[in-house]
Amino acid sequence: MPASPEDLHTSRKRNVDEDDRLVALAKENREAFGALYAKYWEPVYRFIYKRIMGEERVKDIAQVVFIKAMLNLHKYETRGFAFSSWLFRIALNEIADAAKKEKNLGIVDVPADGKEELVLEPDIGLRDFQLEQLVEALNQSSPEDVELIELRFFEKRRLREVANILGISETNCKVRMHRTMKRLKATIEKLK
Amino acid sequence: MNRKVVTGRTHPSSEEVNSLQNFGEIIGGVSKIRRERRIKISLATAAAAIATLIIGLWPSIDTNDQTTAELSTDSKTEILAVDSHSDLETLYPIQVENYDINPEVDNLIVTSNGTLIDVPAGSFSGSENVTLEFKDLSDPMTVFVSQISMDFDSLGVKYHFQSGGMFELTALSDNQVLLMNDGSEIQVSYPTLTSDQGMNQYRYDIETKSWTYDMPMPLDQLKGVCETHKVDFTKQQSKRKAPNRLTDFQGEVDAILATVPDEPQLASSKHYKFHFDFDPLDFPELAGFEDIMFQAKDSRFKRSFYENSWDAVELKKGKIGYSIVLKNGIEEENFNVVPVLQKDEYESALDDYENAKVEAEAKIDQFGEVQAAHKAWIDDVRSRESEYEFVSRDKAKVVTSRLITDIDEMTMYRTFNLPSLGVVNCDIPFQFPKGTGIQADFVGKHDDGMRRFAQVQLIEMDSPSYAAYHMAEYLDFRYRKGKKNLILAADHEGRIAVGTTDMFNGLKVPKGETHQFELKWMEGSFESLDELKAELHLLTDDYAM
Repeated sequence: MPASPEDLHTSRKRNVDEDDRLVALAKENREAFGALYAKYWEPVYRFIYKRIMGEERVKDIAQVVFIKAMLNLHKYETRGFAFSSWLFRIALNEIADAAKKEKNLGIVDVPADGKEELVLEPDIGLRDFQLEQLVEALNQSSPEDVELIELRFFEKRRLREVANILGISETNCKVRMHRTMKRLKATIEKLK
Repeated sequence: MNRKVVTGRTHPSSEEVNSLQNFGEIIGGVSKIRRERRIKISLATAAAAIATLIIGLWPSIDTNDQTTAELSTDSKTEILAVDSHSDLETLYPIQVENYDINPEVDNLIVTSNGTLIDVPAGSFSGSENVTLEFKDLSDPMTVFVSQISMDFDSLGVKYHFQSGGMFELTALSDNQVLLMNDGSEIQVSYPTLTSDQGMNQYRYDIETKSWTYDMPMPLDQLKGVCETHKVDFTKQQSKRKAPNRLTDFQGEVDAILATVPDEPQLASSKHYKFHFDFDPLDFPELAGFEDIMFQAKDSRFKRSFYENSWDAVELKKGKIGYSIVLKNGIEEENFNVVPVLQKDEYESALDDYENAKVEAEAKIDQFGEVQAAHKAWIDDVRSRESEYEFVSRDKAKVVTSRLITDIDEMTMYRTFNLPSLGVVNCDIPFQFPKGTGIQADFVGKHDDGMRRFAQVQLIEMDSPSYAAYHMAEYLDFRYRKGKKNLILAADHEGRIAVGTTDMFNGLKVPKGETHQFELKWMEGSFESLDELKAELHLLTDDYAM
């Protein structure tokens, strides 16, 4: 049976509370950071894996993300989100830096159900298009637009979480998302 | 797009990913970086004279928003730099005014600060219910909290803004952002902060955090905005706010009054009286009484009338009461009568009458209150009518207002022409003040010692003008003596610190030295932007609320 919204909310809240406890411990004792590392290694690794070519490079960047998180942990504040949001934000900066320095390193990994996720979004009104058209439209989109689409649709994150990862307000995120989808739709329509 | 789009990629299993964990490497990496930092700090200590140059060149290893770069501007003390909280608005929410409009008709919105928002019919489509959100971003603390960059890049030259006013306008429908229709234009007449000439309209791109120039923006003469345009505010408001309330109520009162019977009269043994079959349809007020009789009221009734046979008997109701007309051939008798009841019927009827009367009187009292309230409302609207006399360009527009505006004929306006919504301002760009240039650090006391603010906002309150100093970017701090200078800064926790004009009074900084300005924390727990503004007002008399 699918989880109810209340169940999801409770589960998220529990997760945030647990993260807060782990962060508090890690601020006191850096060895305690190991628990956060163990908990979020896989999500961070996969987050980078979807954006960077080469398993070695992915692993290196993931390690750098945790090193930076540990160095800056004293400044981290929860704001009601899981610790992973902060890690993802650091990861996005690292990915951008790495992709700038090395050509052909950055990728956009369109999941098998990526097209369907876009179709399911009622506001967009995107219908009857091919995966190839989506790929071409993404190629023609700005990096910022692609980043939003990846976070929201390919990774199925809530708008609040996307806003938090990008370090912008939820309202700004909504506006950006709306504009991004309008542009994507226009590009796909042209390609049809 | 500089990333390659790929599909159908295989992903490693959880076991494969987790086998790559190496926490020891993390600990080792952190220790190494900390060692390197210490070396750099000691280099900086040895070369205090070029410390500010190092600030600009320091290779940050931190994340974009909550960075702490370990720096030194003093030969003895290590001062950490602290970046501002990345979203101050979540801590001190900026007031939003919401206006629900029908997008199918012309709308004129008057906001609480007297801004007039002219929304032509058809500016939005696809929704019957549109809410316009208006955020006034005109006062310095609000501008600071909004964290909207007041830097302006024109062909590579960096400018800052002297502001004539700034606001954000957003349209929402069902909680979704709504874009304006192509070709439509919303006109906003904004009570400008300054009558200075040379202002332009600029538009803010929240994605790139940058401003683009729209058009020049001359100062509107008041009459230019307002002339001869009188809105029939009473009529408009009556339509919307007093929808036949009085008429409805009057109808209710009339209905209840109709149920109140005439006051019953007790039959007197001293007067002539008789029964008479009247048509209850002709005299409904008498129809409810049981066994009613008519009692002769004057001496024109004679006992002999009882004994006569009359061709016709007629009951009439005149201005002063009832009368009976008796007809017999050409003979006609006319006398006044009063409907009366015998004792038992009288007492029962009296109870009914008094109950109905009490009920009707209560309704009438209630009606009086409604009438008084309605009159007060009309008077209030009429007294405000003069304020709104100049607000509308078109009488046909629906006026949406909070009725709390404080505009008068001295208010100077600038008119924004908006083909799309968002953050806009009217400003004059200026380069950094060409006044006194000094090397400066702005610091605040933290639990673990002094921290240097990575960025401060210099506000010349006279204009007001905004100059953001990113301390790593600018080698000197410039300000103009004699101006009402205000410094605002925030730390990573969102605490706000202030430096007031007196901080600059009599200031002399020897060449080559770095002056340390210690900013005052705004102490207390502020739950709203208004509380922050009030505190700032207390801290500095210069701050115009």
